[in-house]
Amino acid sequence: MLEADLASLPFTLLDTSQRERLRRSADLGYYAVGKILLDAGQVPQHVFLIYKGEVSESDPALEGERAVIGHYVAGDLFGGISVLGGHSRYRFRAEQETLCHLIPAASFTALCDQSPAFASYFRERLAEKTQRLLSRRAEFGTTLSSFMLARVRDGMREPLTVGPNTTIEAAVARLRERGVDSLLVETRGEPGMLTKSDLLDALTRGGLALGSPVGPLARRPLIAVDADDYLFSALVTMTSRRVTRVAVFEAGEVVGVVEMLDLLSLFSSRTHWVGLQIERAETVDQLVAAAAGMTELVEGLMAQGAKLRFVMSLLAALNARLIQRAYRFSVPSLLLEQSCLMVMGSEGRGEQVLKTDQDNALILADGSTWLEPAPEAELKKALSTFSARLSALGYPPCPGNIMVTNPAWVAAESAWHGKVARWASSRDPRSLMQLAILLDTRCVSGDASLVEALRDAIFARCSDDELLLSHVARGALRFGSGLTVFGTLRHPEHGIDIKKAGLFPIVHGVRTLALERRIAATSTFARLDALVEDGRLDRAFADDLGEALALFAELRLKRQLSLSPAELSEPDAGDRVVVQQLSGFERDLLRQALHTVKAFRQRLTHRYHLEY
Amino acid sequence: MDIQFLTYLFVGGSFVLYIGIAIASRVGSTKEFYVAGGGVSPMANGAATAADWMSAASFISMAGIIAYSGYDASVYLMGWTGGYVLLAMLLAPYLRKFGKFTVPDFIGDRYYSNVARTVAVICVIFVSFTYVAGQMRGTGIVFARFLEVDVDLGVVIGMVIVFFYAVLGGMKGITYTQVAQYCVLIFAFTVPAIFLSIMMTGHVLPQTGFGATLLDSAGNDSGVYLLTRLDELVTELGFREYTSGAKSTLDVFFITAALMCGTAGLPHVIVRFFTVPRVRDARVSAGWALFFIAILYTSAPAVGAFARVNLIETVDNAAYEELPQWFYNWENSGLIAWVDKNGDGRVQMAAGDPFSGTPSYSGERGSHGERLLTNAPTDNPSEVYIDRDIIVLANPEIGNLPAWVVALVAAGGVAAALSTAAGLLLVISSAISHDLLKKQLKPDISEKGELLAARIAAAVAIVIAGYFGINPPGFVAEVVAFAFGLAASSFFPVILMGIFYKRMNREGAIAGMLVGLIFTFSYIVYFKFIAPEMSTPEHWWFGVSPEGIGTLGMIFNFVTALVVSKLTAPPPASIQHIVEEIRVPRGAGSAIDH
Repeated sequence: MLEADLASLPFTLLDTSQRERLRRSADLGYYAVGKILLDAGQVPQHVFLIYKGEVSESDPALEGERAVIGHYVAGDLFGGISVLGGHSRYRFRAEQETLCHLIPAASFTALCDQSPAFASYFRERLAEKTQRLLSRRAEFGTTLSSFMLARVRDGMREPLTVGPNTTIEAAVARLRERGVDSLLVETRGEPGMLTKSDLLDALTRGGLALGSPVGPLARRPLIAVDADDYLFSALVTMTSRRVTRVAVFEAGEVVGVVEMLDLLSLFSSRTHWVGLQIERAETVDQLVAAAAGMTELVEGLMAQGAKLRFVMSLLAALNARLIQRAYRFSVPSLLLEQSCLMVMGSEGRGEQVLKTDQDNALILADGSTWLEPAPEAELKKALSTFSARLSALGYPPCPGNIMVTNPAWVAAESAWHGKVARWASSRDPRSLMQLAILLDTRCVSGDASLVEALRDAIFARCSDDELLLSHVARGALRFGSGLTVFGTLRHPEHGIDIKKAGLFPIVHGVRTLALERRIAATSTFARLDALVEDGRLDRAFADDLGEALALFAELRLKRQLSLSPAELSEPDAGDRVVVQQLSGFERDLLRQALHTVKAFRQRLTHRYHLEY
Repeated sequence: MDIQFLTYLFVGGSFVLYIGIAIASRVGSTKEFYVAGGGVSPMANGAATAADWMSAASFISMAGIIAYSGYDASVYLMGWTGGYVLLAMLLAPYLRKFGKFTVPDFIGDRYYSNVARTVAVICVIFVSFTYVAGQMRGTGIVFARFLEVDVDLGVVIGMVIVFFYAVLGGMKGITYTQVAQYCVLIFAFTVPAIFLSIMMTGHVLPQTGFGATLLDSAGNDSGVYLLTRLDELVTELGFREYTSGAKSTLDVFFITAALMCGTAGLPHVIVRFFTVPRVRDARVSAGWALFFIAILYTSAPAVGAFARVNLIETVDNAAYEELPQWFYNWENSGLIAWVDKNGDGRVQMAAGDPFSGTPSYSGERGSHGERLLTNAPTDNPSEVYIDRDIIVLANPEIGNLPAWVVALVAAGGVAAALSTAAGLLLVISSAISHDLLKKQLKPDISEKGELLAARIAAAVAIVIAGYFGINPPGFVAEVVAFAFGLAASSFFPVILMGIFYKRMNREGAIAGMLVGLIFTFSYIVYFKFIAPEMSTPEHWWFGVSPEGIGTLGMIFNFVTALVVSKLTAPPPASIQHIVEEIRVPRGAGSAIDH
């Protein structure tokens, strides 16, 4: 049973033989409730690795609640710093019946001597530990997810181009020289693809001589993708056309080649698979099948340690594609040109991890005839088909009825502008909510300029109005902070609602600042960056907010993945984080993050006169 | 249970209530996101506004001034009530549409000028300061009496409590705390008023008791009207008739106008109009606020009259040793003093000051047990000094009301002072940190720095206000009147024309403000500080006292601003467009209702 615990930090810093030595030397100890495992000033005999139970760390010099410094649960390790320091500074006490692996102090120090990385792990302060953990994740996350978001231009290689009169022999020599498998043959300005296996076929089965020109052998027309496409759409093209490489065009010119082998080595197979299914789907049923893999995909990415921020943008891209395809299957093509389908709320911010409600709306271009009686019936029918399909794809209808089947959220451009004006001047809670929703909007299909014009209209109405901004900002202060009066974590049985205590205040506060500064970005992270650029926030604080947001989202996601669908259907169940179930390390991060939120609220209060 | 214990209980209990409400309202239990501000009903907001509005000056001093000055003191009633109406009806709805939180912000933007903004900031800070000083004095008096310490120490205790409450505790303007404070203060004010009214006239409502006939000791109608009896009493003692005024009609008008227009720019009350998101609700809540304010303001004249009658009947010509306990208590707090000029051991009341200046005790006791004074006695028959500000607080004791009423009044006085002081400190700190520092002096200041500056500004404001609370430069109400005069003469015209006259430009506004401010300031300084002996109606311009001169300054301001703006370029078209737009009801535009 020790194996599992040794598979995480800091034991991963040891090599296999060191770990094996550790495993053999370790003992097991049982402690009843209230037993002191290690007292302040005592010379520690062991390093403790908790197998089961709960241990508190406290400073005996302090009184009561304040004395408690930390909590340790299964999988946590303590006593290492004490062994290295010669004695313990704090008192460790079993809060529940506890079973610990005991690593003798002697073998622990021996390991530290052998492995400097292992030793320094314990010497670093908590903050540095945090930092390292985060940066490790960032590295890993970037490599994995950034390829998912990468464009073709980032993954292509330069083409090897030869003239039509080049001999087979010379062509093979060039291929060997460059170490590639394919070349382009340029004939009167029209290139064709020629691969190693084509050449082999020509020599063996075609019986051509080594001196024959390659011109006639090349395959035309070229199968090509655009340099600005996602890399995974190149993969999609190859799969659907059954080729292993495609040419890359930019402004009518061939600028590169993408090879299947290169791509496959970059993608985690499951991500690739879901993306591929969505792209290849030709019927709604196929789309539904593709969508079914998404929760699994998120779980997989999280297990691989991908940084949540990247998972979110990846998921946003996949969701947008999914919704876009469903939309195209459902509505007449004329409507596609004359309208703009918007997704809103967390989907609009690109901060959706699991699929949620259908928050969407439609802007119809002024001058289109869709709202006249006859086309309107058609439009309504198409939109309700679309909505039904989204439901089938796993997006339940929005409980607030903010979706295209509600006529209030389908309107001509000028009518939308009128709505904005009305909401901005009436300022009742509902209007403020609608403005906030509309601010987080992005276009998934159709004419994106319609959304941008609408956003500009919101800025023109709201950004200079201090009173309106104040009413908007007030929303960020609505909920309790999750901290006690003394700044420690509250831990009620039913958990802290981190959507209310953490996520919402950050998202909404940043949204208000973005509204004031006329920042068009919708993702909270992008808004934070823009606010730093703008001089409104300092970099360090913006980073703290971003990390806090990522932590909340991550804890929430873990919670949601751990619940069964029946449990999830309870109101707020997916937002509640039970502090008692977190590790000591996570608790500490959570507490720090909630303090960041508290500081943010104070700034908002001061800036927007919310003391009243 | 004695008065002392009950007072601790009531004052302590009210604090627990405010803090409890503040904590409870912070831990939101609402399920909905975004519904900010939706929970506060217009009535609650009206009560909160009333608590902000009614300061220690209204609660403690006003009835005292009325008790002493009679008819002349009605300028405060009229000026302050009128100011509220003016603000609620004429200014707040438009300022709200302009979308600016503070008056300096409005002036700075409307007149596209930082100079104008700075002048407005200075006015706001000055008005708020003087006002806070009044609150400090008020809290000081309450603590002095009920902790049985000297009034100076009382002010210091008040400073510490206000600092913790308003600046560190973050209990600033939470609406429901304010509502609780209103309830406490209005109970504290009206309960003794009703008791006294029933005892003295048989009327339950003090408002009707004020105009009714007195009961004799057996409880039968004596047929003598309260005010007639009061006039008899005061003229007997050599005072002017209670119901007649010494001020000229023009002066009364000018003082009232200065108080009204100055009050209309009071920043901490304007903000209250902005905290309700919907225009309709804001109107309803202004109506409620007026009703809640009127309850106190209409009772105040009756309270003043009851107190004066009781005071004279109890104290005049009574042997010092036989006076009730409250007399000695207030003497110990330094707010009552007696010099036995004729050596008969009895306390004589008469017109004029018994000695010059405020009492300064020698630390020794006289033959009757009274505290001896070092002040030089005057040669008029008046022997007793009673600080006007203690009338409301002492009223229940003078009228022999039950101990719990006395304790309730103490809690009410603290509530009135706290609510207003907290609101004003917030305004001062945000004017300095936001309008002055961030917008002008140091635009690159971080938000953390701004927050710190706000706290320091509030702390400094409390210290300075505390200093003036201990050493009041003349009567608090008088100084407050000057501050209002300055506010009326400097920025009232600018706000008004900023809203209603689109042609008014930067040059006109600045010239007008400077003329109004400098004229009023010079006039007050000359008559109050340089040549106080000249401050008589014969030397005043048009017979206008320094208290009322702000109105004249305001007229000069209007004239200067109009003339200068005619001679200079009109404001930019964008500004003119905005000014037109704020007077047109929004939502009526054709662009809006497609």
